[in-house]
Amino acid sequence: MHNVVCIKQVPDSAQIRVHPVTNTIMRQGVPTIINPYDLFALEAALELRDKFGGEITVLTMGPPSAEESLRKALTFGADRAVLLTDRCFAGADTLATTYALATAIRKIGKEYGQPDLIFTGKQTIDGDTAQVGPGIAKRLRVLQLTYVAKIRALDLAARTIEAERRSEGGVQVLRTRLPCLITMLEATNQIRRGAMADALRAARAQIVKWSAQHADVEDISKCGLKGSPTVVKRVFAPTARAEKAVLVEPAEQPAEALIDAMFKYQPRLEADLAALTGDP
Amino acid sequence: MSTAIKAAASIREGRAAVKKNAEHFKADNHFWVGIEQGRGDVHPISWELMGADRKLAGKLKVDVAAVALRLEREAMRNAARASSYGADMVYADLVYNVQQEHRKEFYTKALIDAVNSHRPTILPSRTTFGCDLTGSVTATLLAGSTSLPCTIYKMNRTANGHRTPARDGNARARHARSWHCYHLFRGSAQSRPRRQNAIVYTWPRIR
Repeated sequence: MHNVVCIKQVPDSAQIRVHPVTNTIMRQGVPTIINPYDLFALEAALELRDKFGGEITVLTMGPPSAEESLRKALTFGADRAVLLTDRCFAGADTLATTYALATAIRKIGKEYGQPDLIFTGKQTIDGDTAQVGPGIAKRLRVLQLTYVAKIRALDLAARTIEAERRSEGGVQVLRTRLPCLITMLEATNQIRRGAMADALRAARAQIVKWSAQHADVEDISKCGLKGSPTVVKRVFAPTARAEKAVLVEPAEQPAEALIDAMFKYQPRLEADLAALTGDP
Repeated sequence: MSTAIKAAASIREGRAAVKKNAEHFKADNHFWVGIEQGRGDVHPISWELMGADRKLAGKLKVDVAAVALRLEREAMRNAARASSYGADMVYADLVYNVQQEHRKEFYTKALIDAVNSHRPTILPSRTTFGCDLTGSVTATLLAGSTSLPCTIYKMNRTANGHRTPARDGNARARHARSWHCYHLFRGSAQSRPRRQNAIVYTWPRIR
């Protein structure tokens, strides 16, 4: 069984800052992490490998520094890491990203065996699109199970998979055939602590680096900024929605102090609440 | 004229009006808003989108059509309310099919066929279904789509006749520009329905 897990290196959103003059995201000095949603996908793939055997290939597209994230993924237990890096991939939107990743997955299939399952996170914390997974599935013409909370059963002989999918109306139990693409929902599992042997292996492992040419990308114009119908024009911090901010002095009973402050500036709210509860 | 003849004439006029309206919608890049189902009724986000889209369409002098996506019978009846929220036309061809409920291919193909024939600008919602459908449709049509969930969106006509959308995200705001004819948005625009005393819905984002 061969599973491919697509991950992304993202800036740590807790430490991200916007440049006050240029209004662009300041990436310098901001630590990068593996997209937290992708870790749920990686753990789901690792659990399946523990049960059914096989191997896991981790794939990412990004600058050469994304190698760090791939090594981190190897420490969790992934068997192989592929980095898709080329200048022509820079500035890709969801459409160009799906093209590059789908092409790389096809190449992985040729080199290391056809994948049975392709995992992605639900979305990334920087792009927040939730469209790359479905886009890859469409380009590869494989079935897709999105927002998966749990993989209930996998039958390799019959080549079927059964999973629970969360949707607005409740939980759907879906069964489909392999190969398929799965986008994992958050909080569905917890990423394991990597074993010492995996950590040592990850430190020495050779990361497979593919440029556009190596990944058999036929049409460069579909990659990166050239192949992106949507481009980011400007990034800026959202304006505060509150009309007025009042500093409340620390008090022994902070809750009461806060309520008093609220009622001071919203006297109507106090009257309405009093009428609702029947208090004078 | 007897009542029966009057009724028949009325139906004929109605059909002719619908046909004329359909041709009108084919002629230009009008706006489509996906009407989705949630808990047996029309999903409230559909009305949010409709209200915001109506405002935008008014500025650009185009019309708005509501497209019923995977609606059960009861929800389909309620989708007719779209006209009271600002829709000039309601398409109700994509009927709910329980066997196909989770199959994106079914709806993707139906939507792509419709897009190819009518060339609209579509605003799907930021629901699980909307996200999946947007990913599949954009990958097939090679269309642009804004990434972060929209809270505000604007659209300008450029010199070459294409429209350039721009929108502010809620988490980390950004301005996007697209050159493609078909723009697929996912929105959470806070807008008020046109009905009197109507409820203003909040956006039920799935996390």
